[in-house]
Amino acid sequence: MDTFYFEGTQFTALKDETVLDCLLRKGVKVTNSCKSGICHSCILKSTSSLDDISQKGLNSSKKEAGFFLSCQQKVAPDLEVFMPDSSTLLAEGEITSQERVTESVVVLKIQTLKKFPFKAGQFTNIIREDGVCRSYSIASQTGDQELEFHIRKVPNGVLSNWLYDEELIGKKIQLSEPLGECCLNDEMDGQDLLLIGVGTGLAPLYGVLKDSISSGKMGAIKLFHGGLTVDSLYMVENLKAIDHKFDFFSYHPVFLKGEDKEGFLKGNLVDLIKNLNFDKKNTIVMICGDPLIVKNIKQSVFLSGVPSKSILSDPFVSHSSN
Amino acid sequence: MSSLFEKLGGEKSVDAAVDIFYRKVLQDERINDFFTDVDMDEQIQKQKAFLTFAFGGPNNYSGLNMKEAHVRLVAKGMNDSHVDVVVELLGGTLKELGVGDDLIGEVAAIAESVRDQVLGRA
Ligand SMILES: Cc1cc2nc3c(=O)[nH]c(=O)nc-3n(C[C@H](O)[C@H](O)[C@H](O)COP(=O)(O)OP(=O)(O)OC[C@H]3O[C@@H](n4cnc5c(N)ncnc54)[C@H](O)[C@@H]3O)c2cc1C
Ligand code: FES
Repeated sequence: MDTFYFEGTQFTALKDETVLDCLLRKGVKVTNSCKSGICHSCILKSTSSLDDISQKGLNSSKKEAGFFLSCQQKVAPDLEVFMPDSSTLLAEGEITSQERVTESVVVLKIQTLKKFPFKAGQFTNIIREDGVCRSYSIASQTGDQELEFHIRKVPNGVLSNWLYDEELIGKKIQLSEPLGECCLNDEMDGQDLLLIGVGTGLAPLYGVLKDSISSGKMGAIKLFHGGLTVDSLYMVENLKAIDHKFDFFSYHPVFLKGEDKEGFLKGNLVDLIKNLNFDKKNTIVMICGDPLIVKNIKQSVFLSGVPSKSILSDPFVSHSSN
Repeated sequence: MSSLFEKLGGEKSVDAAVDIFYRKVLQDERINDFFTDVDMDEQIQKQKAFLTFAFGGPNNYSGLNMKEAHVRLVAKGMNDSHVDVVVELLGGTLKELGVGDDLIGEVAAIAESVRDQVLGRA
């Protein structure tokens, strides 16, 4: 049986247990969310040698400082683990606006109290006072200090229901350092953009769209936003207005169930994208939202001839659905 | 005398081959059940490592992690016939990229050399 040390105290792990699971089982409070190496909320620090996988995705200065993802690190004999100083990793923010735009989607705005550098398309972890932590994509444009989030309330979901139901204006929350690769970079200049969002998967794409409009560096931009019903789609008027204003941008709201409606496409988003005509060799495709739909669209876009390096995605995995 | 990896065009050719190869794998009904449910980005990384190895390039592949990497697939029923298909698709990929038969033979031989490890027999 393997033992390790956390803040000087010895812990004994079960077979194959991760550092995170062991600490949680023993009642130690460690922030965590995805348990799959994506959100980085479970970061701890160590002076021992670590598995490569538990430092995957960390930048080199973090790696050198001994930071690691505790949900990915199996307990190894005599591993020494510490809680990092959270003030260096987290930023404080205050909720300034909370607009319920559909029966289940709330648009939140959070003002950060100090500088919070991020790139449009990235996500951050929102951490409530009691330590509950979930990842949400930033819908703002690069450089904004007021962060916008689109949050869908999921049945029995702890944090999403709180964010939708409670009156939260003025409330303080904490945010982790922004992460994620669903972003534009200079190498993409001049290419077309195909943005595909499922539900609140619109959020990161909305930021990317605003960035590309203000930089003027991208070619034709198409945005497909899919929802179950017409009523589940949001920001429709806003996006239609942008569509009218710019020739290079077109907006396509898509729904699956209900009566036909003018200005909306009815059908299955996966099939629609499969049959879509676009310049396969010269288009950056971004796909965000429900993990299963993202996976299917990603595969079909790849098979249709888009190079794998031109396909970026953010599947909104939740810890119990994977 | 340049190495096989150099003759094939090095890392660039791996990059060119990986999309073609992985598309073939995903579309081949004889083997795609083993691959369609796995995350694409992760798969592309793995296929890249495999192609670099088969092209005679610098690799971090050892017999042991070859075996470990395929335990899950062998448990799902992967056998010699599936390895045959992979070698066939690898050849098809290289042909599409204009590689000559002699070099394709060399690549196939490297891929063959790990057959037993992949299938957990060595
Ligand atoms: C990189 C990343 C970015 C994300 N960005 C966003 C975003 O911009 N907007 C957003 O709304 N969400 C986003 N998510 C999802 C978000 O992190 C949470 O998983 C989600 O809000 C549910 O949290 P919860 O606390 O409400 O539910 P939990 O208490 O964690 O879950 C409660 C139950 O609901 C189930 N459940 C969880 N998610 C779903 C779902 N989608 N549909 C049906 N059932 C579900 C769970 O399996 C569980 O049984 C993102 C996730 C990731 C990994
Ligand atoms: S990365 Fe460990 S909980 Fe998300």
